[in-house]
Amino acid sequence: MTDVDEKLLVQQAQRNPQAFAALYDLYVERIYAFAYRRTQDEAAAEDVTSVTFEKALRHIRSYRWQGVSFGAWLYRIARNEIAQHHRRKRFTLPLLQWHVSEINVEASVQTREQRDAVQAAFARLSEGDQELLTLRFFEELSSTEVAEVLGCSVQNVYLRLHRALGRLRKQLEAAMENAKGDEVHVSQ
Amino acid sequence: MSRNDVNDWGRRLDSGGRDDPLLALAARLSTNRIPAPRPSPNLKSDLRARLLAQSATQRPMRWATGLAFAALLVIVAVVGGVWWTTRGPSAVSPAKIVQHTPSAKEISTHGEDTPFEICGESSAWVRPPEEEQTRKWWNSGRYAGIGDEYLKRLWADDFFVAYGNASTEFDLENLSGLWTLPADVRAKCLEPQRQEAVLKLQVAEIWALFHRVINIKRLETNYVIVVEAAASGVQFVQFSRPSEQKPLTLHFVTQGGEELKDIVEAESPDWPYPSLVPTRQP
Repeated sequence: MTDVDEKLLVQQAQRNPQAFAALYDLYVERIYAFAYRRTQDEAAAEDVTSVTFEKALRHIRSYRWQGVSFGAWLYRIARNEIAQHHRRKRFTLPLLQWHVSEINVEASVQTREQRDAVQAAFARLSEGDQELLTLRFFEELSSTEVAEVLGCSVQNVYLRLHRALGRLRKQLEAAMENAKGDEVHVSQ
Repeated sequence: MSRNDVNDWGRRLDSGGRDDPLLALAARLSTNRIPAPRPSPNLKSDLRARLLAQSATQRPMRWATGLAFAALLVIVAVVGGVWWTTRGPSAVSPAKIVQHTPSAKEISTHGEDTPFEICGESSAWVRPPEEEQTRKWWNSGRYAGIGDEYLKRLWADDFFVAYGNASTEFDLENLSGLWTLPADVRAKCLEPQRQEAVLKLQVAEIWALFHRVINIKRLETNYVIVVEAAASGVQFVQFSRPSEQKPLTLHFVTQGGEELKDIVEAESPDWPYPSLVPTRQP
């Protein structure tokens, strides 16, 4: 769906809240996936998803199209709810799990080891870096939309992505060095 | 890293570049997303039902607000009517009230030439193969669950208007196939001053795929954009709007006068400023 079609849905929902269901159908899986990736907890993801859509429905009339797209607006609400969830639970993120699906295996040209290395390196990043990379690469938001969600400029998003990817790369390099060391150790 | 370097790197990232180790790593992340489970059918249906119930309780408030607004309108109409008959202009010709929308032919005949600038152009660009488009966007999570009628609408369209909303333009680029265009082609159109003028409705920006713009004529807020077809290429064209407050009517026509597409901004779902749509005069 283009922003144009989505905008029509938003306008309909602003006139008649019953029409909000179409927007819900459009986004529920994406918001749930985002919440799950950020909490690694199905119950928490359900809570975040529920509250996000309840808030969005309550405030749909005050939403203005200019500036922030509707999707980015939902992600922004969800992001706030996830932050609250972490504060309430004094929650520390567990290692993010890459559940290796069949599709993943077929689509990826990487070896299982390489994928595992990326997974482990990603999990060692700060929460802020994980959130940024999740929004941009796993949720497939554009850089502009990520800027809308995070409330910063696109240039700032580029800079933060560059740094986060740099840190991820360093983690990967360190992991590879360790692996090499282990191999040498084993062969000796 | 300088600001220019960051912007350049970001643009390469956005256009799917892999020509440095970090961009390659970004591409690797994109193709190895952390899978997430889908919400259970129970959650989806329960939450949906709860939201619908909540929206139903919002309606009485809406009715109350609507009634209050209607009452206010009646009062304004009565007071305005009294003022009009006692102090307003004594004679108003109906011809001045009824708005006439000129046809493309009338604009071509009576309109004035409008300067325009091609702020970005590629003569070689063509849409990517459908398989590539499918793999990159039609099957992507961003558009998951969207029907083909929405998804492929822009694939067959050759003329668009950009309003400076980056998210909208991102989707336009993705779904029209323009995502394969190198990012620097439109860089001049995106210069801050130009984008500010587009956002303020001082300047209009049109995208013409597989066509070259030959001439633009204007009659008030109505434009005829004369184009010639091309086997490949895209042009990004900017020209002045006559008013920051008024939506335009754009007729895309061939040099022979054949109408290819009309964009009536006031009726277009793309138009982002509904408050500026004039109400119809009697």
